[in-house]
Amino acid sequence: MAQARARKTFVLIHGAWHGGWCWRRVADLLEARGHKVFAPSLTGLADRSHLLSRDITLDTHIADIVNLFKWQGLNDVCLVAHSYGGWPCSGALEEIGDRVSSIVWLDAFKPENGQKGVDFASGFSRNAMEEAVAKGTPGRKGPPSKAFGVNEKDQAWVDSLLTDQPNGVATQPIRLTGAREKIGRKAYIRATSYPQTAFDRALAECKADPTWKTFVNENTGHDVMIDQPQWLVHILMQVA
Amino acid sequence: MTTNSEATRRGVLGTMAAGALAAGMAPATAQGGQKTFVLVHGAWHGGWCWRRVSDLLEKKGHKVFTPTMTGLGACSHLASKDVNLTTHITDIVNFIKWEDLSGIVLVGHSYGGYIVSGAAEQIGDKVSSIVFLDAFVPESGESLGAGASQPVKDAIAAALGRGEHSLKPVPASVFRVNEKDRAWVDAKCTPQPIGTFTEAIKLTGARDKIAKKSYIRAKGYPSVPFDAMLAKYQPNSAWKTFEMTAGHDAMVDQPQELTDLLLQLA
Repeated sequence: MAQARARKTFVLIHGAWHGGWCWRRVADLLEARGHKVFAPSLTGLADRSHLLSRDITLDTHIADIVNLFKWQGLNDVCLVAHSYGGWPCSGALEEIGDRVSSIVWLDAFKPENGQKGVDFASGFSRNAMEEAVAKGTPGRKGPPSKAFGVNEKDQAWVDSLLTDQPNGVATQPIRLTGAREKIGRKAYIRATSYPQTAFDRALAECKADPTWKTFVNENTGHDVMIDQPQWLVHILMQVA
Repeated sequence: MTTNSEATRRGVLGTMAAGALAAGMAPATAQGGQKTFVLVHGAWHGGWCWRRVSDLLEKKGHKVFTPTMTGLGACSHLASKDVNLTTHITDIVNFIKWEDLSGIVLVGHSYGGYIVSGAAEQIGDKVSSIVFLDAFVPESGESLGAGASQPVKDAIAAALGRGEHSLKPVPASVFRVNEKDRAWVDAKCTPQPIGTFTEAIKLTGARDKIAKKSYIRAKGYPSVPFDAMLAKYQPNSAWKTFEMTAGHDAMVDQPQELTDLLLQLA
């Protein structure tokens, strides 16, 4: 069916412990402007937490994204990756890069070929994962939302929706051949008040690369879509 | 296609949403005329089949969710022998819980009637209108497989005999999908996990407590069981019944007519 020319399609991919729910404010704002938004929960998380199992790998989450594109017949998409979402989105671009016209990495991991999530985990995350794997549990609890710097008013709400992160997605090395870097428009957003050396490094790399635009916000926690949805939408409209 | 009044309306909605966020309100709930629709697809289908209807509803400022059930369509990489009716009911229940939806128009197409009936047992208080679109309206203890026609029963038995855990899609032509869309629908349909057809549903009457209940029959598809459903609810004053001329996939064949009808039932 014919779409209005100005109508953009956004696919928003959440980070660890989160789900599609975290994008609701951003989705509402984008939809109110007439855009099409998909914010799926990755397998094993949030509304799909009943599917948590030890069989979930990074490939599962990559397929979650790739298959959404294929079955919805999406093209000319702005793909937004938050935090851990940088892993499955980087992998997905290897298959559906030609359907993506812009990418926005939102305080997100920007992995290189052969790397795996556990190599980048914070101390908290790594310890919790090693413990969970030793016990044979399929997932591990995340830190409270306060640790992500979520604004006080929203902390209870966010904490009530966070679910275990599947362990298997962090132990599989990612296979990349450079599809992400071939996307026409690329932007990296760093929420600097949330300490994460991997994101600082990614920001520095993108700043040094003229094919990336960079944005820094000192006044938001890591969950930018919750703390500053309007600011984020403003940036998305510039990049998409 | 955007008229001036639509553009103005969108502008107003945008301002409202921004105002709500500035005031630090929780995620948007239905405001003014904005309704929330959760559209549940049938067997072999996925959220993709609703795209035309969701586009039309969103253009009018409504919130629409079209999740794909585990093992199907965009989630077909999760197909396994463990996927059953409970999995799909939980798919919907959890979706409504995590998105914190209420005042929902919950629509079940075909086999999706099993899913929405089962989900109503847990989230019935979040649903203001339940719509069965050329769908099964099961009673407690029933399963789709047990109540199916002999060819479907035979197909289930044969597949299980071969050690398979899913049923091949029924061709779009059988469902009387309009000719132009048949190749597209056939390309998107995926095998249906058999466990969703063999598990008996457990109901305690939550569905019947929902304020608005409707049955829509898509008469372009000849079907004895769906004719029987329509006949059962036609004389029931607690239900509204409607007939469309579309094939079984009314959301594909007649998206505008279906959208108008859903808005009337919201």
